[in-house]
Amino acid sequence: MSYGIGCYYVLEGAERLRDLDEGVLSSLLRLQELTGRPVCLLLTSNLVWDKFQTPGGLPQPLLVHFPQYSREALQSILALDRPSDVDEQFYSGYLNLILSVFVVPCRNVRELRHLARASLTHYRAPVLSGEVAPTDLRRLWRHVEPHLRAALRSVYLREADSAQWLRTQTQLPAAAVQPSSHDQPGILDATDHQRLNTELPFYSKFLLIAAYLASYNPAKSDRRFFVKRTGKGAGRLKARPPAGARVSALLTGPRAFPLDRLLAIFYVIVEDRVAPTASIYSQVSSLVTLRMLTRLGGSDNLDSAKYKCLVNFDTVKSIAKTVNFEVERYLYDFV
Amino acid sequence: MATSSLTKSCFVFKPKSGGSSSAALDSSQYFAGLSDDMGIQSAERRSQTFNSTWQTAEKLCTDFQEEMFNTVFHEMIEYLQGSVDIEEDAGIPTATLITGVNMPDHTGVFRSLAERLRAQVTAHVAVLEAASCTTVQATVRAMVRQLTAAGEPLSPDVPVVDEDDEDDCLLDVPDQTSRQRRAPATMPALVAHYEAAQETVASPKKRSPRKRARTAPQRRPLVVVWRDLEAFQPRVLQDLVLICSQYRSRLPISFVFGVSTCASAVHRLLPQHVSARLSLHKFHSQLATHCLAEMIDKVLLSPSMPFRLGGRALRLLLDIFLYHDFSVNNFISAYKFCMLSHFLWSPASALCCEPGQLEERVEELTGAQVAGLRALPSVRAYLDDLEQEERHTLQHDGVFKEWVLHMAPKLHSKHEELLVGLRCLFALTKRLPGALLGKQFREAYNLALLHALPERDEYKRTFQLLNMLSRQELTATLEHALEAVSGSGSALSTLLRTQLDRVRALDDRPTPVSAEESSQQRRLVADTLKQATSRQSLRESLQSMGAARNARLNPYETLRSALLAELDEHLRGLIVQPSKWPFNECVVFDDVSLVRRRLVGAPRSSVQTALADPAKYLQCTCCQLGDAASIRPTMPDLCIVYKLHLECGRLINLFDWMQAFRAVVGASDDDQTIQARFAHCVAELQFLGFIKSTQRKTDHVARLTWGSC
Repeated sequence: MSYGIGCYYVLEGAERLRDLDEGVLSSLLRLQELTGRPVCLLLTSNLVWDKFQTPGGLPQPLLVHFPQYSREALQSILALDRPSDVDEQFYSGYLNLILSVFVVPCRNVRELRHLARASLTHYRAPVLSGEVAPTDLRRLWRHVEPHLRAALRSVYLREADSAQWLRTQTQLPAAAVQPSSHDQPGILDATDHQRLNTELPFYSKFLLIAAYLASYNPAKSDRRFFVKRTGKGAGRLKARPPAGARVSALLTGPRAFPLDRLLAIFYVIVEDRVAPTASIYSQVSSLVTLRMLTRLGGSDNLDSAKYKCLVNFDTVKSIAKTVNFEVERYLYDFV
Repeated sequence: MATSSLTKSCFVFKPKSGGSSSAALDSSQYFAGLSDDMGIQSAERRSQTFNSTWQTAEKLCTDFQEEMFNTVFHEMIEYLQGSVDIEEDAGIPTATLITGVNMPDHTGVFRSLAERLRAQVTAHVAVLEAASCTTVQATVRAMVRQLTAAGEPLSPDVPVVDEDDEDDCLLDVPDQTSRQRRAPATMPALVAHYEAAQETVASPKKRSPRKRARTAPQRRPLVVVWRDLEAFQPRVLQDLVLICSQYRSRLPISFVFGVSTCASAVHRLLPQHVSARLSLHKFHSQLATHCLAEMIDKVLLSPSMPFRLGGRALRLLLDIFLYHDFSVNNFISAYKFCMLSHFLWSPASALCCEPGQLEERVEELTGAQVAGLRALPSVRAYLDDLEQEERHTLQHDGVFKEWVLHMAPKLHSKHEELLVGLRCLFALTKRLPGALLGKQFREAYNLALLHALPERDEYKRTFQLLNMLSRQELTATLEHALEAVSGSGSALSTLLRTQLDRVRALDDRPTPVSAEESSQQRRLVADTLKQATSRQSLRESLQSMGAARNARLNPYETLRSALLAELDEHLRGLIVQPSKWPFNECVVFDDVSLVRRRLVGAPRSSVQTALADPAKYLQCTCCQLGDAASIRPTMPDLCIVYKLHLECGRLINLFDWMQAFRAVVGASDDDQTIQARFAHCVAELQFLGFIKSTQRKTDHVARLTWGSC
């Protein structure tokens, strides 16, 4: 048999094939057999082959393991990016530095290339201005360190597009040079804050808190948290199961709740009297569009819509803080 | 209208064009139709004034929004213009526009963005919406269609026509042009289209080398705008990012992510291997509260607006904005509605105009209108305070008109004075502890509209606190106040300036406490300490000493209280509550209950009103109720059944209920009809959620709502 004129198919991200019909992967793997032609299929994937196996079984392909890059390999790959006007020795020193900082949290070549490209100007700046000799690694390190430390905080976020990054960096040294930059809210703290916080209308905040409470508290406990007790009602309360026996709601994830329950909790936790207006309902659907709540069971179920809360505890806590509401007091897990 | 469908479903019928334009009502007729006898005379005038006033307001609003968009989009557009040159393996240049959660405004924001992108960056712009992009195929199709439709006017609001529909059309009309347009909407087709477009753009430029030299390296980027990113299916978004990054070498694609919540939403939606294909760049739009403050300043308080909102109306609008939607558009619509209501319902609004036109308007006033003006509460209160004879002369219409002409223009100047006074007061309180007048100017303004501010505790407290400031603090505070009012050129700014000079001049003088005096004082203290025999007596003597020291003010303190008294007096003259001005009803609108009913939809209370008092919506005379609890047989059955159920306890016996129903409607019908009518109503009440069936007792239903009638 001659394989002279073969045909090669390369499928990247082959793990996605598993989402397709079961037959697709198995017929692809038997392509040569089915077509009777010299066809070769190459699958690349991040997963081991075991994860591809289906109950019906698959023909065993030839497995080639592609090992993780070693540090030396990374360095020589990154060295290919060297700009033509940079000295080779100087650049390898730079890469050594970059790798020593970033190789622990990040081994992704793409990410490392991005980081190396973004910080190079800072590293070269003192050399170009004649302040530091290109061989004086220690002083170069001292110059570039605050920038690298800042970059380390936003690894993987890809928010550090070179141009914008440079702009943030120029404002940085004043705050970062001092060793105790942690005490002062430097520029990155401000962006961290913006990255995570959302400005919501007043009642939307309460709706979100109510949704969180409805999702993470069992419905049975509502009476205990939200009904105003006249006397000392402690006698009526059942003894709580011991802490070990209960599964924390934070571990099981959010539970679904009907709209009525959400609104009932909402009207209790908002202190002033709120009229049940149409805009309250529209805020619920706004929250769904923002992916803070999700609606279960399709949009055709108008009568008994059920929702789930998608935000995490920290977000709710910070939102509750802005309206002076203590979420912990109302959470079953915390009392 | 008839359809050929055999099944039951919803059909959309578009109105035939041309029919509606002839039926358009003249707005002045509309105004006249809604007015009573007295208002009808000024109806035309009022409708004209409303139109011109709204035009002014609309111009201010659009200017404001344009300016807002300009600041937000300017940097982003610059970035996108340069995005073509960004090297290939840096990833797809992506501008993350954080828009805030004001959902109702997003349509306007993204339309404006798309227009600007088309005008300034590239003709290839696609705006994707989550609702039409549920699968990867649909998304690619929507994107490619919009990108290849460059040059044709395609509004982003027009949804991309469904493929299936187009197939049908094609079978019917095998037209050459439509076939051409229907080039398959796939990425390779986009590449082909783009390359062809680049060639046609490039070729005419070859003729003028000078021009070419300037624009030669410019490749037009393809900009894809993702509206409300959170609403997209994460899978679709991820796949599309991966697909586009594959084509990045051939197509200079850039993304704009419209993120409503916060920048981390992008990372929540995209896993790392996908977000690594992007090069993100963040752009923040202004905070909603900041927009509100700007809008109030530029539109509501603009000196060119003759119309003003009253305190309660403004509070309602602010509440809707801050508590519910953060939407600038809704705020503007509500403002327009208030303005319309003002001109529609208040006959006095005929005088709400620019000072220049006032004379003409006053001339036009008829006897009845003058009587109406005289009956305005503010005018009556003013007249009551006047002397007997002066009041008598004003009974004459001619004199009254002249007086109107004298007083009415003052309304505008008084508002300006109020603003200047308030700005000064607000600047004074801003740095004091406790935020006495609120953190925002709008809160202070609203307070001044609602109450007589100088009589309030906040005002007094402000001056008490100001009276404790040190010299540096006072100087700084006065400087701020001066800055706040400097543009107005009023007497207040001159006053502040002289005060500042006086405080500064004091700095140069030597300190008045001489060394001898202080040493004497120290001796005195030492003596008292020696004399004190008990803790009690020591405390008393120290207190009396302190009081004696306080009584003797140093020159700075004397100056400070003098200055503040002067300032207080001046501000009291400026800050007058608008409802105290005579004729304020002409320009100030404060009928909040009218607006609230129409702006704030309350579905549940509307249902209850409709059931309890149907005459309110049916506008019939037969169902008028003297007493809220009474029932009339002429009311609709459902209302009768509802009102009867209000009289029952937790469980309702169906038979008794039906007997009561029979007693109300009268026994004219036979039993079966009554029973059928009753059963129908009970079913409807259950559907509306007022009752539910119960297992507790046979033939009983449970009542679900309480505490209303």
